[in-house]
Amino acid sequence: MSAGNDIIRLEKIRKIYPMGKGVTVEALRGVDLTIKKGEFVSILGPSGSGKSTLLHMIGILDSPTSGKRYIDGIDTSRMGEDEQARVRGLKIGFIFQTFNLIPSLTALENVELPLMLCRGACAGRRERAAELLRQVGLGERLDHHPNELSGGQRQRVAIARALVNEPELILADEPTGNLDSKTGHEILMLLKSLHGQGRTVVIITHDQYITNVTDRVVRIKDGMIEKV
Amino acid sequence: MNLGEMVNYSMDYLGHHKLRTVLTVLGIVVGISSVILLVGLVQGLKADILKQLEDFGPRTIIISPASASGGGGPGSSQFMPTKGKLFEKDYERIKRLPNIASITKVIASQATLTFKNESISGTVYGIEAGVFDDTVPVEMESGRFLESSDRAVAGLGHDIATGFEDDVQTQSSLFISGKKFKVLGLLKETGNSFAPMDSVVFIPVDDARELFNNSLLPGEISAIRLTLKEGSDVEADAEWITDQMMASHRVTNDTKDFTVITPKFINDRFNTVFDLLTLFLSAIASISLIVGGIGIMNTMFMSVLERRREIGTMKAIGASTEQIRNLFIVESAMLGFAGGILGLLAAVGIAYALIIFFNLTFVFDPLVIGGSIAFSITLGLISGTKPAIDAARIDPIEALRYE
Ligand SMILES: Nc1ncnc2c1ncn2[C@@H]1O[C@H](COP(=O)(O)OP(=O)(O)OP(=O)(O)O)[C@@H](O)[C@H]1O
Ligand SMILES: [Mg+2]
Repeated sequence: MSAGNDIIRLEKIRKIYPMGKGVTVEALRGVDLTIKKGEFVSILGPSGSGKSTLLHMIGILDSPTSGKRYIDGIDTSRMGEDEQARVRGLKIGFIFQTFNLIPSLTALENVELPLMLCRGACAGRRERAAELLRQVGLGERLDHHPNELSGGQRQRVAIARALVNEPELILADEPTGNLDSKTGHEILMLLKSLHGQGRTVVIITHDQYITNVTDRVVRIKDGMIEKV
Repeated sequence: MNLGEMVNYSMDYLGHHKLRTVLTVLGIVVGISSVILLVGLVQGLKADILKQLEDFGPRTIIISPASASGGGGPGSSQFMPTKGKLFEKDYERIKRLPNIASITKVIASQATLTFKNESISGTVYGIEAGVFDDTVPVEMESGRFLESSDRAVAGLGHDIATGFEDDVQTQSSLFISGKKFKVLGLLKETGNSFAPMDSVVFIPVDDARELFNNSLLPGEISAIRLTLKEGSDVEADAEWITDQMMASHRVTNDTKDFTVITPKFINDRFNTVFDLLTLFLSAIASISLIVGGIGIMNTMFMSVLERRREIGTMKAIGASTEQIRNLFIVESAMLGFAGGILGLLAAVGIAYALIIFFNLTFVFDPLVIGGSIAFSITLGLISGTKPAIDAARIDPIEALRYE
């Protein structure tokens, strides 16, 4: 076991949603998945297959019903809610389908937000925020609010925000889902270039096209990973 | 997030929702400004009245009858006809106090005043001329005040002199309860409600005794007025008088049938009344503050509801429950604080308008101002607590709920 190289390891993860009156939905039915440092992975599956639920598991946004989850070799079941939040803030950079920028903050303030939330663990990275916005081509837009930016530009701000804490893992949920195909392609190339710089990137999607860009494709169906 | 960052974040949000912010803050502005205004006005009124009280004279003591508090009851005077009255012997006894600069007995009664066939009712004070005007400042508009040798003469307070169809002049004849008096002089208007000289006719005390003989017991007087020498301890002397009177009337502190009025006595009474009034008015104004607080709570609940995705996102990117809770409490406290500051400014503006246009006295008590600001912040904190707890409970997966 080369645990030192695994960023995320899921073992026999099950997620059961109670629906009331004793009815349950089993969204994940025993998932084993390991993401290694430097990988570029897409997770593909049809609607209702359990992609979002899997994203919650990889992103430590929710707890599994059963199974083991490790981030950097550390068992997350021992972490409290706030400790999980701290780990998310430091180790995972989220990119959302709907960008999820804070509307009242400027582009720069949005990128700085994870630095404000990291509770002292990321001091002295403030200059990085503006630099990252320059790297994603928004050097002229630091003081713009999200509603003054196009969809593609918003997603670039979101990518800069995901990078500001130097996370171990970039986790993107349908990052091109709300963009036209040209802009979506640009965002995809940006993510590919992040991988080119040695970063670990996981994209969750139902878009076959994206799987052509990534190095590895994980297929999920009915709450289970399809064996290749 | 430190406090500065939270304030900044909240300012950005509130600035993005101007109308809602302004309306919410307005609720607090109304409450805070009415508290500051009402309290300031009452305190101003109190200052006015206490200033008038100074004219009462800092070393003046008045002894007046009063029915025993608590004791007695309706039928009691039948058995003790002298109870609750003052007599010449009280006057003689008090006169022995060495510190007295001047002392006068007063016989006061309502009487019919007739001038040129016109009759009005008025208060008549029988006084010891040459002494009374030592116990209270008397200023003349025209003519002169009574002197000790005078008989059947009168000095008229301003309101009496002008109370008839024709204004009364010096040397006119005025009939008091049918007896003719020569008007010696008219007093200047004082406007003071504590030494009510304006509505009084002054006559020699011996004339008053003859005039009101039917309604008085032998030797009965209405009040005793005295002024102490400079440097006297007014309260100590008042206590001596009280002891003397209690001994002579054979009463205790609880069954006292007289009142010894000192400047401090009046002061204390008024302070009590005004403190009660202030409390009462602030309580009423506080109701509008509570409504304002409910407004803040409502706005904060709405804001949390609207920002589920935003809060979920912050949690996803590392915010702890405590950070989210603090963020919303700060935002709510800022609404309260803004209301407090603007309410203070509004109150100052309105107060100056009242001072300029209505000549009202207004007292800005730093304690009231500081207290109001502190209260408005506290109100924001309290109103924001429940919404903030709700916000802190929002799941990070809310970030991923796409409609
Ligand atoms: N909170 C929930 N409560 C109950 N059932 C849920 C909940 N979330 C998901 N499910 C169910 O779990 C299964 C997997 O859902 P999930 O959202 O993970 O699918 P998905 O692959 O993301 O689908 P889509 O592509 O449509 O977003 C579905 O049957 C869904 O109805
Ligand atoms: Mg989904």
